[in-house]
Amino acid sequence: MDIMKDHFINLLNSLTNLSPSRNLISQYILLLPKDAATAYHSYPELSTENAKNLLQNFFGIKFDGYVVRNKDSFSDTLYKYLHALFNWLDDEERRSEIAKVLDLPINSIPNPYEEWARKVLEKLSKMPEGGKIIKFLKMFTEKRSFQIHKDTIYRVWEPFINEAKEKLKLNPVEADEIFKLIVLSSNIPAESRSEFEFLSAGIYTYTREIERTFYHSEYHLDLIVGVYIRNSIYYSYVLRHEKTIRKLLEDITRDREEI
Amino acid sequence: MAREQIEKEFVKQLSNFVKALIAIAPSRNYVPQFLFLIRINEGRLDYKVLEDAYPDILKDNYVREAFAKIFGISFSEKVSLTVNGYGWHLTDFMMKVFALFDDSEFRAKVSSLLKEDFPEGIPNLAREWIEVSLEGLSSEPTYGENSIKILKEIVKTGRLKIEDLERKLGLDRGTIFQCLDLLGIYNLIKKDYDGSYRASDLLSKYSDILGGF
Repeated sequence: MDIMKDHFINLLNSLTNLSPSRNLISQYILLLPKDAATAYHSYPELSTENAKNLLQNFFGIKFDGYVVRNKDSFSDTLYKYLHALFNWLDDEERRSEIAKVLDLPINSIPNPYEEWARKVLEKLSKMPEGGKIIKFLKMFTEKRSFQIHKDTIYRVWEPFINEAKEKLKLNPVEADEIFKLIVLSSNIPAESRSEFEFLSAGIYTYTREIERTFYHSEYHLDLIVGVYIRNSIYYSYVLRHEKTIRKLLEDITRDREEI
Repeated sequence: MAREQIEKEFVKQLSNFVKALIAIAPSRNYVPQFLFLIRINEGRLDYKVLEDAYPDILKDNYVREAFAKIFGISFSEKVSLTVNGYGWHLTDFMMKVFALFDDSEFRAKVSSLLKEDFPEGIPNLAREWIEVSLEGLSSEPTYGENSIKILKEIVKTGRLKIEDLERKLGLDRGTIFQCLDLLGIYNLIKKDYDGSYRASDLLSKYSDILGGF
């Protein structure tokens, strides 16, 4: 049993060391695609000849006008895996199970998503419009979900963005930029997954198909998942990582009174 | 940042990255090893096989149920990984890590950059997995020894049918079937359409390891 516990702890530590808050290579791979100039200036360590050689020839990264991950390459698999890691450990019930099995306090079980999101929010809060960005995020997390008729899905964000523009005195370009930074970037493909849910109603059982689409923002705060129940007339966007983001917002607001 | 400093920082990040990948390899860690063994058997494996190999996990009710919730595992007559559960994603990633470290050019390149941390070069995790598989196989009390004999014969000849193995090794058919099942669990052999057995691609690449068993 001790061997299992020791190995499990080593596994958690190693997985955390791979996460983008701790390793520049993982961070770089997570945040692609980027235009070449931005990639060069943001990550000079990964723009050396040795680094580019490794990333291109073995990690499947293409360097052109844009730096991108090649499909099904090592970097593509790592990218998908990092999101799985975020989802896995940003779950209090799961971390609690892990803590019990390892006989450790829950706050010693790492949360790579929280570490990453904290880093991102600290960076965003220090931008020239940092105060507005954090307030925008607070307003967004208060909504929790957005539901819309599937025929008008392209207009789902309008009411919220208009509200944010008014309250925070944002011009359309600012509002659009902040939205991409923290909610949804159209440059980054979303992933859809269908699942069947089995339900019972009295003596009848039936299945319904649910399609979930995981959307990404520029910094992969990944705050929303689209949920569509087949044959429904509505489409919903539901908040993810809610508890963690609220906690981080409290911490940032406490530390920076001007926000 | 000065050029030298930039290069140093890259080497540091690469070293941490590579060390983390090595640490989660199934040849180095019991927990990913358990998950990986299920995954390479098309995501499901006999309960009894895993219970014998990983009693810490399967014989303790609490640990077993916790692993089910933590990794997305279903424990019944067969133990299976839930598709899109965390265990599934982790083993997907592990297979890609294997392929990366199996590439001799990758190992040469990284070893040249990380001479200080890996004076003997970075390990070949795919080869290590074969070593660990053979160790696991040979320690199986009932069929381990004969499984190794059968494997050596298959590697020596290239391709053999059950009748060939009966004749060459003087083993009864029942024992041969059990051994072939065990070899299949470790993905050390492949069955061809004509019913003959040959070494898996990975074992063929590292068949010299068999000499040590």
